[in-house]
Amino acid sequence: MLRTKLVLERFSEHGGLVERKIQPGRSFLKGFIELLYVQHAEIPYSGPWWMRNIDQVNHNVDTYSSSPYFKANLRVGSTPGGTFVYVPVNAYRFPVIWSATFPGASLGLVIGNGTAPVTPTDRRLDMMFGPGKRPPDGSPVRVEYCDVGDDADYEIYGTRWCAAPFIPRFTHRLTSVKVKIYREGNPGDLAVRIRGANMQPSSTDDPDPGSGLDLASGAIPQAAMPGSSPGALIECAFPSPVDVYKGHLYYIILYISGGDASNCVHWRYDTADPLIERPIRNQYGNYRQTSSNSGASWSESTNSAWIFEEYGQSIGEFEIGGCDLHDMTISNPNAQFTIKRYFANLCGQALAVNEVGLVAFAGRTYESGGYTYPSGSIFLIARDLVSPTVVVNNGEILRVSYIPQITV
Amino acid sequence: MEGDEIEAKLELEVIKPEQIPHLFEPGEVGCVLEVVVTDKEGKVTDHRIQKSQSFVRAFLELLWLQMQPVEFVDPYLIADVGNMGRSLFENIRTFGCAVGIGDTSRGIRVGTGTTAPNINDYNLETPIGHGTGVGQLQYSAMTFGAPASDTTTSQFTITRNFANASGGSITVNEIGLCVGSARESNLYSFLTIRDVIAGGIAVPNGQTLTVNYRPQCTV
Repeated sequence: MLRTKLVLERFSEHGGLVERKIQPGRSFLKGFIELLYVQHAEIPYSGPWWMRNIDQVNHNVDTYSSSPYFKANLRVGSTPGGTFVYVPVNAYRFPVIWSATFPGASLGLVIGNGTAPVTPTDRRLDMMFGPGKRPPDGSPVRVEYCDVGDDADYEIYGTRWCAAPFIPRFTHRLTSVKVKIYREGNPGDLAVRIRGANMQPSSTDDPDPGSGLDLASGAIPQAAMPGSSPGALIECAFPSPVDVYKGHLYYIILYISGGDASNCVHWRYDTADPLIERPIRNQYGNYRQTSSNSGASWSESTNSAWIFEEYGQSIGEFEIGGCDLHDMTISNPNAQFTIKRYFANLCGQALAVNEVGLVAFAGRTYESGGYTYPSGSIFLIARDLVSPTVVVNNGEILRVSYIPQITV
Repeated sequence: MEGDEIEAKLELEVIKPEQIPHLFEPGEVGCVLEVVVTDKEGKVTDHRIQKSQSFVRAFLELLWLQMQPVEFVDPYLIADVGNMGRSLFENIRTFGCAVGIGDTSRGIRVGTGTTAPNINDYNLETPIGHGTGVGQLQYSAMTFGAPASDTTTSQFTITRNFANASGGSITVNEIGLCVGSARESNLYSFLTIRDVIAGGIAVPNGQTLTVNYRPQCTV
């Protein structure tokens, strides 16, 4: 039997222990069972297991190893912070650079403010704190955007879908987007979706927005669309806002049901390859995604960028340390170790911690140019509600320890 | 006495949520151990479901190896089924046990030992070998049931059949799970679960013992 103890310790800015809260960890999730299954059954890449990552992307996972490369399945130990990227695929002894990359803070112990009950199929925290020292935003602010240039447009109708990539510079709850559009004829309402992708693309593993579940969905009614070029930035507020994480890749997807070339929505874009860092630039410059088969597959158009704005608000941030494992102790009838991480509140306001999660890496295999390469993603394997709430005041440090223990 | 080779094929079974047994309290991660004895006609002659009591140390050590991660420059020593310390670092083979017919190096294994489990157990006390000789059982290939969940519990299934063509009855008193972990091209075997069955399970000649381990998480 394995049981887990969850310990939250709050320290003053001078290092004195202010509060220690110990509760039973209750909630290893289906994600943990799935990763154990992949390992035990030695799942091959020719028949991978599909499971959803923390951005709700349906992701293939396997144990294929093409010497000398292997995948770091089940890894939770992690580098600190949001400015570092993490390279989880090793060539036996040395990291290689074509693996998936993401902020170290996304892997290992994570904390949040949400209170939604835990279910076995949870794939992300209800509301996660990102890395940094940004205070909570009182109202939505413009976060990512492309508002330079505007010299072309693309017709959206029928099976012609479009997607704009963006990588949040800080973790926030996305509340709405604005897209620069106009209508031609009577296209009907414009569907607006937010989807995650695989991790930030590397040179050989560019993800597309086709395989994710909708993180958020909304619509822009036809009546709200300008009837002539160049149109205007029109807002779509999402009834259920959703967290988007610093350093992860997301897409704003637009499409309509039906329509034709005379009854469509035009999305404006800039062909001048604007020198902006966000939305992301790949190795070719900015890019736009389009699909001619309702999102079943996608094509990149480089050196241009959709015109959009994305709005949301931070719930506050912690400076997040590395996730460390230590203290393996074995003494019959028990054995245990500790997973630990420090969270420093430097955002200027008190932050309420209501949930703790554990995120693990698992690898996938993809083919490119006749060769197979390892890549991967990250998956929520445990989630616990903290009750009662632990309030971390500005200047304080929270130490979270997860202690799995087996007993014969 | 020679017996027929049992047939076994790799197959994927999807468990419906209503079929998931609930033996664990919220927060517990464990295995449901199900044993079934069937005769030649497929009639069930013995059927038991119980909590597996005993992850042993190698389970947690291998989890540590993967989660940490333990790297090449500072490997971690884990005792294999021969009680040989193996210097390991994170590798893709950890927990693998998808072995074929007659392969007793990994997968579910059975034995006749009756000593209570200890956290430091590294092998079954008295393993039963593969074959049709006296005191032997025929080990099938390992099979796995895909992960499934209901409103509280997630699980997958690990299965192996043991056919008795030895000519006499065999009593199984202990059951264990052996998994792999590798150091570069060298694959080793480690005991991660050991259960002792109260009173033992008699497997008469001509009958088959099926063992299901179902790792479960309950929220």
